Amino acid sequence: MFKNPLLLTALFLTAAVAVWGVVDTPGLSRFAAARVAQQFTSRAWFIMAVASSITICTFWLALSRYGKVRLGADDDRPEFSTVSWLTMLFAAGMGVGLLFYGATEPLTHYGLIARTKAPGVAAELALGVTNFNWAFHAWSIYAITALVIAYFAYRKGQPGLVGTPIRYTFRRGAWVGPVAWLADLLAIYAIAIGLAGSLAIGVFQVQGGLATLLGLEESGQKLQLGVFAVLCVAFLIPLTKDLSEGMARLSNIAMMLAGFLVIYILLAGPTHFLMNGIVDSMGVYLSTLVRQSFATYPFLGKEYSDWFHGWTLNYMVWWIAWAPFVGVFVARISRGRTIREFVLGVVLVPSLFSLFWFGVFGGAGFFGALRTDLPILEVAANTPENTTFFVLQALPLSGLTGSATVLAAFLFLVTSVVSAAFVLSMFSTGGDENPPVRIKLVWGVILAVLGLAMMLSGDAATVRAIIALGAMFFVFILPLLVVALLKTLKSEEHS
Amino acid sequence: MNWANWVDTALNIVVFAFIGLLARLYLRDEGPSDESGNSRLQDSR
Repeated sequence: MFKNPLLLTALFLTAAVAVWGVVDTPGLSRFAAARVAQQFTSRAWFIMAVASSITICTFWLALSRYGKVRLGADDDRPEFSTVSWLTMLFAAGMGVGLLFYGATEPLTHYGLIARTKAPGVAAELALGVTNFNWAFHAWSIYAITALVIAYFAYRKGQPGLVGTPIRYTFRRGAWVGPVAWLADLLAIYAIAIGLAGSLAIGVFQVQGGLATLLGLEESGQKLQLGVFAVLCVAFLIPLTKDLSEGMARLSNIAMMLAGFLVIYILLAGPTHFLMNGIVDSMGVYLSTLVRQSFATYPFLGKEYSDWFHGWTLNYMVWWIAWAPFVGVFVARISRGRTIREFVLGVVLVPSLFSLFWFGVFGGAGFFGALRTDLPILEVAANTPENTTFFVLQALPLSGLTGSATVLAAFLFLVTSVVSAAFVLSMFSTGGDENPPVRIKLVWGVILAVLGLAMMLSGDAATVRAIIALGAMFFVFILPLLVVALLKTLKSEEHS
Repeated sequence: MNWANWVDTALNIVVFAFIGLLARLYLRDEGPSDESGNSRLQDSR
């Protein structure tokens, strides 16, 4: 452990941020907000260009002659059936973020857009923007990262590390080794910060749910800390044992609960309204996709640029932060598939699911806002962590569905942290697929302290700023990996 | 130009240089793999 400079540097860096966040939470929040504001102001065009270029490149790879290249040897065949594979991709796409933002995000966009548009049009556009934030761009970023990892690991027999494509492809120059090392470090850093951020947002969600269900609205941070303590116990124990099967089962239970919730809202809620909303928002999404992909709002004033920085731009960086984490999982289950089937499965299936999810949750929120007197817009603006539960309360059996939401969020958090501690340990030990328990535990503790620091920052917007700061440098690594992939594919074709 | 403007310019120059570097890396010839002394392993195929 002490002879591995990458592990030591990564531990030191993440622990330093964690300790800073716990000791001086307002200081870290202010620093993150200021740095991210500066980066977003100066480099918004670059981040959107990277995200959209990656999306275009991902689809191009599927449709080009490289689409036939297999992620493995030419005679390798997929390990899982297509149905199991697509189910596992659903699971990868699910997470606590969907539970948190399902209803609250479209309503928040609506709050701004409705100032200049008629309510009905504003609702359509708000759902369209939400779909943009969660669909093709997000999944293309994940897909290309997974593709890079899978291609170099399974077709080229290299370690499944983020720096591998750089080491393998660029063979001249003293910079190659250090930059590849830096890529590994930045991937670890981005995953740790990104996961800790999701942990904090998940705790807000569970706390919001418990407060609503048990009438503990005034409990505030005490309840958050209680939820956090239980969560820490729940994820530190599995790290000491090999519970991979148990974790997979918990993840499936969480997924089934989330699936049950979305179907329940669709059927128990205003079904025709929600279905119309889903189809309508898909149309809005597809028809505005090109415009949105390159939108940086330079001529609309500070209010719009703040909104753009806080949402779309922040999401693009967030997806990049998560990309190595999701990428490792997606790569592992996709060995033996061709690039074409890989891209179409990884991008289209979870994206369609996201459109469905936001159509149902967002649509239910808009039904409350436009067709009833419920104060749902105020809830979304003031206590976003309660919005999902507010929507559920408008339907029968709200105690049951609210409890299912809390349980699903909790299980998503436990399984995510356990998986992240595993991936972080793997990345920081040179790609060891069975990393030592003590290293997994060390990462588990660091994730817990980082999560605590983010939770103490108080709200989801600050957490997202800290995540953006953690992932900002990885924005430069991802295009480098794509260039390495394209170059190696080209040289493979010529050899 | 004020201080914030200089920082903005510097941040963007880094991006321009990075884009130029990406283009150069994509186009350059890496030469034969076995002579590089790099950690490239044999293909698994």
